[in-house]
Amino acid sequence: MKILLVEDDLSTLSFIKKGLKEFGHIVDAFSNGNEGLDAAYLAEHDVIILDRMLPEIDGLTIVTKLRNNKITTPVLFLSALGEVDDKVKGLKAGGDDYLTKPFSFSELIARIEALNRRQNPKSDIDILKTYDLVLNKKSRKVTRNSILINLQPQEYKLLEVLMENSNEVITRTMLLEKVWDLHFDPQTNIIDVHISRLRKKIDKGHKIQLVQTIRGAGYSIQYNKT
Amino acid sequence: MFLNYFKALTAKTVLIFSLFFIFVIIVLSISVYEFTYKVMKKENNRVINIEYEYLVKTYLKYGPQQLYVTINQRSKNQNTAIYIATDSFNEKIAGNLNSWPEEKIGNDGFINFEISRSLGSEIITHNSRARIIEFKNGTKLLVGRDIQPEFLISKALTNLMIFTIIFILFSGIFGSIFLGRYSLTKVNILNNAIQNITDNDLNGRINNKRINNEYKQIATNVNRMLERIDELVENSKNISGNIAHDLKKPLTKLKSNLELLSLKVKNKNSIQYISQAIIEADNLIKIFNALLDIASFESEKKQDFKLIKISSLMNSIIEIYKPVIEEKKIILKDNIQNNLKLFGNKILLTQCFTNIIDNAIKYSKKNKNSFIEINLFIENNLIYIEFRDNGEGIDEKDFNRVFDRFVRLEKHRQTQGNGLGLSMVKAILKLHEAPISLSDNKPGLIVTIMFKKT
Repeated sequence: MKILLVEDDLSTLSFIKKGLKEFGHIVDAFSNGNEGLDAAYLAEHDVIILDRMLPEIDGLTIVTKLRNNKITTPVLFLSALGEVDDKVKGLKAGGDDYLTKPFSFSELIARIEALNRRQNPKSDIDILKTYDLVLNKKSRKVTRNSILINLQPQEYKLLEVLMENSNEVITRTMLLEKVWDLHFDPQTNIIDVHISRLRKKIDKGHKIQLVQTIRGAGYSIQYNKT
Repeated sequence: MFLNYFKALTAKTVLIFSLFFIFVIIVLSISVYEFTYKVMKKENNRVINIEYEYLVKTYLKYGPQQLYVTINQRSKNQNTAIYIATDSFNEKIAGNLNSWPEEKIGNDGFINFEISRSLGSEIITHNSRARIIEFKNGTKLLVGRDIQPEFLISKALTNLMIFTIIFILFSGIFGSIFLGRYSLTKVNILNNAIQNITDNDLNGRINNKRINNEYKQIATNVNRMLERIDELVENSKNISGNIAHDLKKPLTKLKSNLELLSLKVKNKNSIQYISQAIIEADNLIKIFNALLDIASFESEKKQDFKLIKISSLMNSIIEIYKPVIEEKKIILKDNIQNNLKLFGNKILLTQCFTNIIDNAIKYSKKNKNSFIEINLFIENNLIYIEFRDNGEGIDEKDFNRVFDRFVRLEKHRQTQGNGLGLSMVKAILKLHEAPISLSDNKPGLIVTIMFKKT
C-alpha cells in the first residue's frame, strides 16, 4: 500500500513510518500541512493518515480541500482531541475514520487495511463467503455447510462486520464502534461474551474453526488450512 | 412564629436587659419610697406624738374638763388634726370625729382608719392615723391626723413603680420581638443563601443587597471565601487534567516503542513480557483518558446535545448487555416506558449508563437470585432512570464519597477498576443537569437518575 502520512510530531511521525514500513507499506511522510496537501494532489495514495492539528494548515482544511478537488483517497484522522464532537467534525469534513492518540499500532494497521478494502471492494455482492460459511446480506440468512444458522440481530451484525473483513484482523475497538456504536471501552467484557455466543453457533460441531482470536489484536474470520 | 424570634440571641439579650432594668427600677422605687414616704410618715407621727403628749399632760394636770375644752378649741382651728374623747360609756364628749373608730391598734402603737367628711355636697374619705389612750376613769382619748397626702404619695409611688415595670416589660418583649425578627431575618437570608450555595456545589453567591451593616460584611466575606474555594477547586481540577495531559504523550511513546519492539522480537517469552508491559501502559492511558474526559465534562460546555430517543437507547443498551448478564446467571428485569425523549449527548449518556450497569454486574453476588433491574419511566413530568440490584451495595455513609475521583471502597480493593467510573457518571450527568441519587435496596443498590422532560 502507498500511504501518505502527515504528522507534526516528529517522533510519532518516525514511529508510524517505521512501523508501516515494517508491514511492507510505502510511506510518504511530511510534518507540515502544506507539503502534505501538495503531496496528496501530486501522487496517488491508497490511504492518507492525517493529524488534526498541523502547522500552517490543519487537517480538517486539508480534507475539505481534497474532497472539493474530487480526491477521494480514504483519510484516517489521527488526533489527540478525543472528544466526541471532534470525531464528528472530522468525519463530517470528509474523513473516513478517526483514531485518537494514543493508539496501538495494531489498531492503526487494522484500520488502514479496512479503509483500503473499502476503497477497493472485492465486489459489491451481497453474498459473503468464508470456507463453508455463507452470509446473505439481502435475506440476512447465514448458513454453514448449507445448514441454516439462527442468529440474533446482534450476532448477525457482528458476523457481518467480521465477514466483510474476512482474513483480516478487526480490533476490539473497531467492533465496539461498528457493531454496537460504543465509542469507549466498557468495563464489562461485552465482546468476549458475544464472540463466544457467535462461536457456539458457527463453529460448534465443525472440525474447522472459523472465528479466530488474534491475541493482543482482536478477532478475525478466516480459514486456516493448517 | 413569635416564639422563634425569642430564640435569636439579640432577643434574648434584650429580654435579659429588660429584666435587669426592672430590677433597677424596683431598687430605685424602694429608695424613693424610703426617702419620701417614710420621712412623711415619721413627720406625721412626730406631730401626732407631740399633740398626744400635750393633751395627756393637760388631762393629768388639769383634769378631764380642761381636756375637753382644749380639744374643742383645737378642733376648730385645725383641719388635719383629728380628736375625739369619750366617756366610760363610749359616748362622744369632745372632738371633731363623729365616733370612735373600730380598728385595732397596730404593732407600731398607732391605729389606721378612714374618716369620711362632707365637703360641700360631696363626701370624701381620707386615711388617718392616731394614738389612743384610756384613762383610769374610763375616759378615752384619740389624737390623730389626716394622712391623706402621705397615703397618696405612697400610692403614687407604688403606681409609678408598677407602671414602669409593666412599661419596661412590654417594651422589652416588643423590642426583643422586633430586634429578634430583624436579626433573624438578616441571619436567615445569610443562612438560606449559604445553604443554597452548599447544596448547589458551591455555585452562586450571597446577594448582599437585602442586608446591611455587619451582616453585609459577613456576606461579603463569605462570598470572598467562596471565590477562594472556587479557585482552589478549579486549580485541583486543572492539576489532575494537566498531569494527565502531560503524562499522556510520553506514555504514548512508551507504548508505541513497546509495540515496535514486539514486532522485531522473535523470542516468545520476550514477546509475552512486552505484551504485559503494553497492557499496563494501556491501563495507565485509560486512567489518563478518563481523567481528561471528566475534566472536559466538568468544564461544562454542552457537547453536541440533541434530542435523544431515550427509550430506544435504553433498549439497545439492554440488548448489548443481555447476553453478558445472562452469562453470569444474573436475572435481568427491565421496564422501559416507550417513546420517551430527552435532550442530551447520546454517546456520553451511553457511557454513563453502561458504567452503572458494569458496576451492577461487577458487584453482583454469585448466587441464584441475583438480579439487575432497569427501569425507565416518566413521573410528574420528570424522566426517571433506575438501576436496582441485590448485589453488595454501598454503605449509606459512602453514598456521596463514591462519586469522588479515585475513591474505591475498602471491600472492593481487590476487584479491578480505577475508581473513576462513578466520577465519570456524575460528571456526565452534571453536564445534563440530571441529579443522581443512591439508596439502599436492602440488599443491593438503587441508582436513580432524574432528567427534565423536554
